[in-house]
Amino acid sequence: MYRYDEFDHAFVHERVAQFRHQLQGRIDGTLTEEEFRPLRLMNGVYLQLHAYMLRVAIPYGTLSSVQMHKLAELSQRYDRGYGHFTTRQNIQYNWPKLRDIPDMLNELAEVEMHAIQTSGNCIRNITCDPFAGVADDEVEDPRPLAELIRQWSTLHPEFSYLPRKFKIAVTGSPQDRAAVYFHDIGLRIVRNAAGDTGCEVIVGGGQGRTPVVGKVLAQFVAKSKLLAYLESILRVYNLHGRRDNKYKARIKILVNSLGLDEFRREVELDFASPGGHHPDLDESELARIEQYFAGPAYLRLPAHNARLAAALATDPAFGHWYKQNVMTHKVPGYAAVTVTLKNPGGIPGDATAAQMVALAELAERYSFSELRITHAQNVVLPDVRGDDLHRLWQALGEHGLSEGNRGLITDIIACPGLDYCTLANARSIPIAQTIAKQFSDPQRQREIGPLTINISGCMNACGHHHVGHIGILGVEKGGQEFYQITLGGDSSLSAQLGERLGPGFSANEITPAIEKLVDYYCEHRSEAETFLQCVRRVGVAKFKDVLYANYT
Amino acid sequence: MSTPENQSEIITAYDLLDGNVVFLTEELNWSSERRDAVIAAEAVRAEQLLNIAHSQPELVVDAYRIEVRIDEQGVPQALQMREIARLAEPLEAGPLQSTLRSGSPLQSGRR
Repeated sequence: MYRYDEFDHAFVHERVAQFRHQLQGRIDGTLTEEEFRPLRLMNGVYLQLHAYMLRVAIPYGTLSSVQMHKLAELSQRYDRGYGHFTTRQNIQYNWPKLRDIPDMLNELAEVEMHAIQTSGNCIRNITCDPFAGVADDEVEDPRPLAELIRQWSTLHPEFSYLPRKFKIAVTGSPQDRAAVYFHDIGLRIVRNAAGDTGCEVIVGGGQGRTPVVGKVLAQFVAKSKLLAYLESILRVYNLHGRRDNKYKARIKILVNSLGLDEFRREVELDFASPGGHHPDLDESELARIEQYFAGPAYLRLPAHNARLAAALATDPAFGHWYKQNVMTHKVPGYAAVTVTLKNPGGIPGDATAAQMVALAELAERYSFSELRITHAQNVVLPDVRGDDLHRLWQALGEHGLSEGNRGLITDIIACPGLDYCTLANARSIPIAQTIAKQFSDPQRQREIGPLTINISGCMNACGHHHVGHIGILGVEKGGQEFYQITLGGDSSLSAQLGERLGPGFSANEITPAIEKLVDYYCEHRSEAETFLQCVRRVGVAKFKDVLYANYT
Repeated sequence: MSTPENQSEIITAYDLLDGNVVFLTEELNWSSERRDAVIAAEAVRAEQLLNIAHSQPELVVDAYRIEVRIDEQGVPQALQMREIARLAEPLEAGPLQSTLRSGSPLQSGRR
């Protein structure tokens, strides 16, 4: 993992001191609320529906066990004993007191964490494939580039007041696990004909009220030129992005209004202009960052593990979990484990302090003290030995963390919705809970197979409903919550936006409606056909007819 | 100008340092208890109370008026869905159904 150097330590501590001073100014009246508000937002402090909320950055979703212990400790000392992991791989505390936040930030700084740029019209937390560095299908580990971009974008003087927030994701694998087509900039590490690695640059993707699949701006940008190229994109956006209307201010609107070719011409023009660019990346600097991600001291292990094989043969429940939640590792004898925070009936992405402590301890015991947060609001232990998997699974079970439902119908992504969020129009969490309970039978989940349900409580789409195989959007009409269904969304490389089926359903009607869609799929799928494949073959219209038959 | 029949308003905000939801009281203090809220039966009075709230930025943040109905126990109950949710604990709000409007478009099947 990346470790702070002297400069980083000094910088985050200085920032905490600044915020403490700013808060004091707000208390003694030297700063008005209007003056203080942007300052607190720059430090990740929102005022939500019930209370303040602190959003802490987890750069590209990577955490050490020490950091996870600290997150647990903060939730107990300053909050209500839990935290909420978000679709941007961050964590949110829902009940901090403003008076405590400088102390919270100080404690975070002690473990090399902060809340800078988790809000505001700046470049937000860089997201990444949660299996970075361990996936066996990887072209290259994306974390060094993600870290490089994090350093470059942190307090970048030119890009601190963009027209709107700006999100960048990086993946190093041909399997997109970072939703790169749905970010302001998505980067895919690819290899060119000469065998060099660089980035395919995708621009103008996003969800929200105007969902757009990103477009390929450049097929290959050398790593040495990447920051300069990103600067040119940001510069064109900063100059031409709309500031008069926040709903039209994202880069996707600019790319669409200029057209991709014209946008590219502007970027290339800036990129080719002399001076004013980030210098070419020094290979030694990149190598210095890469050293932090060199990987732990793996043992040479046989690919086949007798203890694992025996456990799989004798413990079917473990076998189901293994099949669903364990991913092949690039190093023989190791595996990457997904711990879903999706107990049917629980709150998607929430972890109690006790669960966070357990995860930290299990990471120490079984995964070289490292954890990852996924954009699906789950946790990954990236480096587990095959012969430890059964013990790990048993230990997870003691903390309610052994659900074998990764990628299944109960692995629901949900935003906080109207239970916490001041922007929401409807609740998301109770809908997720009801659906998950309805489909809680593990056997039924496995029979249904891969199926993502994503739920957002408003058009801002924090719950990524546009790209759920089934998407659910909460709306308020006439003083009541209703839920509209979209079908066929896909955040992988075959990216697609879901298609809205029709009028919304009440909170009581939505779960039976989902069941109707799932039942139709189960009855009409061809052998081994996934839900998404079936939707694409049969067509959304057919599902719509089924859903609204007898609808009044 | 008065608010519609059977409807009143109260002033709510967040405690500056704690972030707790609070209500302006008859004594022009702040209470976390809804039942302590000063009731404005008329819009003019509600606006006056809001101005008082705005004059206390050292105590509260984001003060605003909310429409309420006074129940049999004399406790103000929010009418708008967002406010019903705000006054409830998360996940304990029960069915969020505003009682503010009648003739909802839902009743004619448009959602």
